[in-house]
Amino acid sequence: MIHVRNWWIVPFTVICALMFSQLPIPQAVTPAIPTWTTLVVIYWATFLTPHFGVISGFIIGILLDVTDGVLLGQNAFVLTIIVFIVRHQAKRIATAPMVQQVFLVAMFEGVRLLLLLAVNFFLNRRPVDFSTYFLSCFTTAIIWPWVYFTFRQLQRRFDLR
Amino acid sequence: MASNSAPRLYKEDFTTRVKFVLCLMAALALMAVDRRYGHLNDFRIAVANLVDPIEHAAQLPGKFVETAGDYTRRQDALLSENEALRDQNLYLRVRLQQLQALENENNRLRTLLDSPRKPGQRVLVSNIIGANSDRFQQSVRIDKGLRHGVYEGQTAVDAYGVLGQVTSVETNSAEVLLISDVNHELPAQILRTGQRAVAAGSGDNSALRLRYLPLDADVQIGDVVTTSGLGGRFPADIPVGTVTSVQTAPGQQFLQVKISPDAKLNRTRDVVLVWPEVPVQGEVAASDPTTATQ
Repeated sequence: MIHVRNWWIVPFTVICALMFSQLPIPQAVTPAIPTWTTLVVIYWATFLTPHFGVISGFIIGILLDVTDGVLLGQNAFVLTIIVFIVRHQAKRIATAPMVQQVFLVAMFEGVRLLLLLAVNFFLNRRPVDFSTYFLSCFTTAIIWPWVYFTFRQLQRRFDLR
Repeated sequence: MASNSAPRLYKEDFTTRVKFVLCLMAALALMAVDRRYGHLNDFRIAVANLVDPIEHAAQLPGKFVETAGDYTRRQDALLSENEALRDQNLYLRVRLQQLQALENENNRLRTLLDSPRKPGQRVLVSNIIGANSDRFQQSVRIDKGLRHGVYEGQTAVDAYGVLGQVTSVETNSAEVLLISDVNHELPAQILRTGQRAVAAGSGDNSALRLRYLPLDADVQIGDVVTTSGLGGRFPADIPVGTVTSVQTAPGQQFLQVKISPDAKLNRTRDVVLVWPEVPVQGEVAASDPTTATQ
């Protein structure tokens, strides 16, 4: 699908994000960990729109389903929708000032969590701890500027367009 | 991007929408099939084989820190730890001798009762390789899988008590659902009285609920709870926890009993997988786990 020089950077960052989400950490802090895959997906869907489509989101979702050992398709479903929305608003996100971008990322992560909640509601599964369920909205958004500048550097260095 | 001209944008928009709908339908179909007809095992295993190196690589930093810690530890700390372990080893060896005598006696008595069972339990030690980013279940991922003979529904314990059960297996890894998960229930009994109940997870690492105990049941704080072996999924007589509170709620049919799990649910690194006791051939009646534990 991607016919760009250095295209491997994209899957590489996805793999890094999956690895980060698998790091063994105490269960108590799990909800506060930023959702790395969401950040990566939002970045590429915004700044590499022509080459990063809903199918990429779908595939990343499947990988996430398998690494988490959950019902196949639920993360794929949710990330497909997220990528679609982000692509739709890509130009607006890309040109927005950083503060607004942070709020947008928080919103996208919130939408993702809500969708996941809805899917799991139909599967009769409740979150382990509802009071901390939306915590990653804030942490994911706070990390965004760093992710943005790092990925910006990557994109420039490897001339991904 | 800026280079897109207007007509092309429309065409791209259309194909994107088609792809979007197709992906959504594929995801829904996957969920339905996976839920209704059990796990899409072959597909899951195929994908897991791709992801496997990632999962194993993710534990490298932790391992590095651990090894570095080992190297930098001071010699006297190591010596004292070694001494403590030697003491413990001696103590455990003595206990083991007593246990072997008990096991022989137990076997003799079982033979008298016509329900001999082969005592040898096969076990496998595995490491936790990752936590889970899924907020809907409390589970851990371990580094043993189909290749090592792990199967779905297998019991996992740690050094102190029952930890959970295997819910999905891939070639090199497996997912263990912890007993503290809100959707997990396990058949248990109170060791002192033999009263049967169900130990249900509450989502809290430090407390399980003991359900379906009648109001007049004899339960005291400090009672030891073990698995009952009913249902045949968990082997009998593995420690589950200790009763920490017994309450009656007005209008409730059952006692409200809380137990604190023996297994170190949030601190353990090593998970031991247990194979069930093998019934002696020819004793079909006794091999049924529901009758054998009565």
